[in-house]
Amino acid sequence: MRRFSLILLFIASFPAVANEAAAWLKEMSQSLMQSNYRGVFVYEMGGRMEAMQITHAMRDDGEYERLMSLTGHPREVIRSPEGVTCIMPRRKAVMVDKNMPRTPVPHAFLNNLDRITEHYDLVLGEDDRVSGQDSRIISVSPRDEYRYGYKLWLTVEDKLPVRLELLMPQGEVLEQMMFTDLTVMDELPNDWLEPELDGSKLNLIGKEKNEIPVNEGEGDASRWQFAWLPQGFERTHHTRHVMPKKHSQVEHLVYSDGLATVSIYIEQLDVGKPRLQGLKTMGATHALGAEIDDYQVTVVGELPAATIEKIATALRLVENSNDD
Amino acid sequence: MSDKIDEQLSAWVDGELSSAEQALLMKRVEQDPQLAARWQRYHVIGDSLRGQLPDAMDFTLADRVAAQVTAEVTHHASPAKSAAHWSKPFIGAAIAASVAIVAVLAVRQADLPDPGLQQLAQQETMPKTEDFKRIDPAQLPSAQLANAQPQVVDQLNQYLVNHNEFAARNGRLGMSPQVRIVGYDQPALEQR
Repeated sequence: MRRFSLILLFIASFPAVANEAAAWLKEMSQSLMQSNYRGVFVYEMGGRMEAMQITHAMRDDGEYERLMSLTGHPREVIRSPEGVTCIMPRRKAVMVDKNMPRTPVPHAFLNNLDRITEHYDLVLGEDDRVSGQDSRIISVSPRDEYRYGYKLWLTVEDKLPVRLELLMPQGEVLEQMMFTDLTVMDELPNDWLEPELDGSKLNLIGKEKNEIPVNEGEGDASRWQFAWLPQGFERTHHTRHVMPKKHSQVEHLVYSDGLATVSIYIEQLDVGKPRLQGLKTMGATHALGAEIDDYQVTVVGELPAATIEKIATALRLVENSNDD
Repeated sequence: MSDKIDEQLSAWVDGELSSAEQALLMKRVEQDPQLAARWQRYHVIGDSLRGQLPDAMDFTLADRVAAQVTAEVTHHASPAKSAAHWSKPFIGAAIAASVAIVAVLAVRQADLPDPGLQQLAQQETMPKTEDFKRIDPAQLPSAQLANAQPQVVDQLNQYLVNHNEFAARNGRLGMSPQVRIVGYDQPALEQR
């Protein structure tokens, strides 16, 4: 509490500092999306460390990205405007997901800084040096215990995040990543974005785009309601799609506060199949599986476990939505 | 009796009254036997709907109502947690004392003097549990994932990959939204 009041006091007395921090984030947001870069970073989560290489390019038709593990089993993720391909030889699987958001690609990753500043305090901090580049620290602190905080190191030159700490509401570091090398370039060769792992002998999971937009006015749209959501969370997407490897339709609800996002996947319950029951934690990401009536519900998000649980248990299947 | 008092009484029974309002209402209940009886009935109805009445009954209440009210105030003093709504089935032991007395009325529920009131109380306590379904909290293991079968992990990964793209569209601070998919595809981490 005391920490919060101090921060609030700080912001109240120096609004310019918060505005400046917001300006840095805005630039970062555009830079992240528009720049062509390649770099190597270390990612630390749950007491483990992994090194990865990332290659990113902005083309006429959108964003391309290739992520390759440099430690442990080889794993690779290719992102393109068409979809995501995960090559996981250890699982003998290539997973393709083309159920991309239907909303237009924003100019920046942070669409609405005003919304973010309603629920997070932004502070422009000290200078530092990361991956051989001068950088500046920005802290993003939540105003309640329902979301994570962030500490970012942005390069002074390109405003790219070369170091990132994800913080528990109480302030402990939960996950972090740091670049050891990052090169920004005007153009990069196409083949840098091609998969390196051979996925041709692996099982292909999912292929076709199979998304059915939900017409809000009809049917099930209002059958799923929340008795509670963290303040500022608004629905950003509502679709139905056929997930790779699944034959039945999955209803997908997405809520966000402008920074953190939670997805709710709802599918017909198949009692015979193994399914997620309870909470699964992957660093800052939590997933919770449970049943409501004849449905299996999976709640996924980068929010504290308690928040995910609270959201899941606030979900209601309204039997009769006629009187809404 | 005014509708406002009725509303307040049922809000109290539902644990939705602030402690300041509770104190005020308690004063009125103490001074008004009719109101006290009404308050009791609300409780009986609420508790019986929740299936919380004990088998055995012990009793005489009218004159003990005031004392009971005081006891109730203490367990309703902490504002109801809206999130853990289902856990409201009033936190077990706390209620036991009042229920023992209140239970008398349950057997006589059929001849409650004021059917209108009974209906009102039902309306106040019922709708939240009648027209929707939700996750049974008892179903949620408190620990980490109990079932780490490959199929479950595969399925979860699909959701994660998909979620990450939607999350990235809404706003993010890091570089690739899929870093965790790569980072967590390790045998040691799947068992966690």
